Amino acid sequence: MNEERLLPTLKNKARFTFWETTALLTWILVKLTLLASMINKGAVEFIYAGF
Amino acid sequence: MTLFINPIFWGIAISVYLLLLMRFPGRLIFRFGLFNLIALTILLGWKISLGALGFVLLTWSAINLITSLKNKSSSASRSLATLGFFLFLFFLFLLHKFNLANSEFSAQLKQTAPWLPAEILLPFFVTLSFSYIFVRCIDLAHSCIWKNAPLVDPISLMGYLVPFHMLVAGPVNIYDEHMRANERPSSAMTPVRVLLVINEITTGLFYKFVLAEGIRIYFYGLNGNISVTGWFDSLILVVYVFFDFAGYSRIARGLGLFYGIPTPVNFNAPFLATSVTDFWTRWHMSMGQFVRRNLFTPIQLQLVRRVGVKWAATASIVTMAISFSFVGLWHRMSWTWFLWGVAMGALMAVEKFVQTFLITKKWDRSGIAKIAIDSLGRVYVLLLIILSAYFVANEVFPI
Repeated sequence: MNEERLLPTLKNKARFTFWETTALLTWILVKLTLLASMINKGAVEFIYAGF
Repeated sequence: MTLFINPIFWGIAISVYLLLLMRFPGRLIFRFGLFNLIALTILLGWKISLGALGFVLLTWSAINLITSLKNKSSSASRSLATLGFFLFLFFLFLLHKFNLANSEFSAQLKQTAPWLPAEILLPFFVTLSFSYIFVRCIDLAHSCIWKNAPLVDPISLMGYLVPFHMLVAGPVNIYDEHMRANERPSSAMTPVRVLLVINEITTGLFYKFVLAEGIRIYFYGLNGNISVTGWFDSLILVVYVFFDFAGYSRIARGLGLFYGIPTPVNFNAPFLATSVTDFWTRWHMSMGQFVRRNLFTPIQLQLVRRVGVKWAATASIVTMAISFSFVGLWHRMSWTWFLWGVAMGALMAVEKFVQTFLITKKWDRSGIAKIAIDSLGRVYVLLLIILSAYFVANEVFPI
């Protein structure tokens, strides 16, 4: 549920290895693909409560 | 208002970053304040933007007046000016909250106070999510009036009070941190940092538009509204609100990291909390920190000074109840939310006693007992949050 717990070591690194970069880029791409698919399905920015 | 799936928003967000990269004169917070004003004008229109600037100028003038009175004049006039400022701020907050709670409020206000431009003022507050501006104003006033922090110029203040990337759902940023924002947004942007920031933003988008919206669409349909009629609905609501709110917060945090503008972390695995007290240090953390900074600590100090250290525990219970009743009323101006806040405060006070008991028995240290207590604590917190959501849900999501 909390991604920060999965990436503690990456956050403190000055450089990423090839595999770390590939993994992170793939994860970003997966998220963007799923996002695009949801928007295509008609998901809207539903704001549940005004504050 | 569509914001985070609006291509114009992302065009503006990137433009602000590129403009901050250019070495225009002025401190980072001034430049951010200026570009933020332009961003708000494009996103919300010039009327809202001008109104926001007017409000910021008014706040700036009031704080400036109060702090200058401190240096020159008697404490009575300063106290009077401070009281006037807080009453005015609270009046605007009440207008906004009554408007959110009652759809007829605008018409009622027109009848009772025709001199007040309700048809302009109320939608203006809704568009800007005034509840967040209200708490930022309190943080600003606390820092400048009581802690002697310097007041920044009105343009920089605009970037603190009405930041375009924290418009919808906060988080509650800290004035002291904003004021001291350093000059490293662009120069420290290494490829690794850029990748991590993009990861933060895309995770926020994933939380909000894939997980939260997925839950809503699955359970209530594409155009359906969330409604809570049973305990299961309440559980769904808690999970939905987590992904929705944490999603917004992470997008704002990612953009803040891009700009070098302090944007606090708002969530830290709240469902792993082992007590309600622990939960409120993990859920909407920026609000919890705001309450601790501006309400709990000052009230607790004053109370203990008056009643003595002997009564510190009682003072702590009273302070907790006051602080959390404020949090309740901040959500909605209603008895349900007020009682919700008082109950949360009371629960946390009880937890303090339980914790003391566990410490004296040394159960908080030993392996198996600790695992059992923590596991029970997690179940207790989850059940309690579901229960509390069940009682307040209908005020936020009317059936």
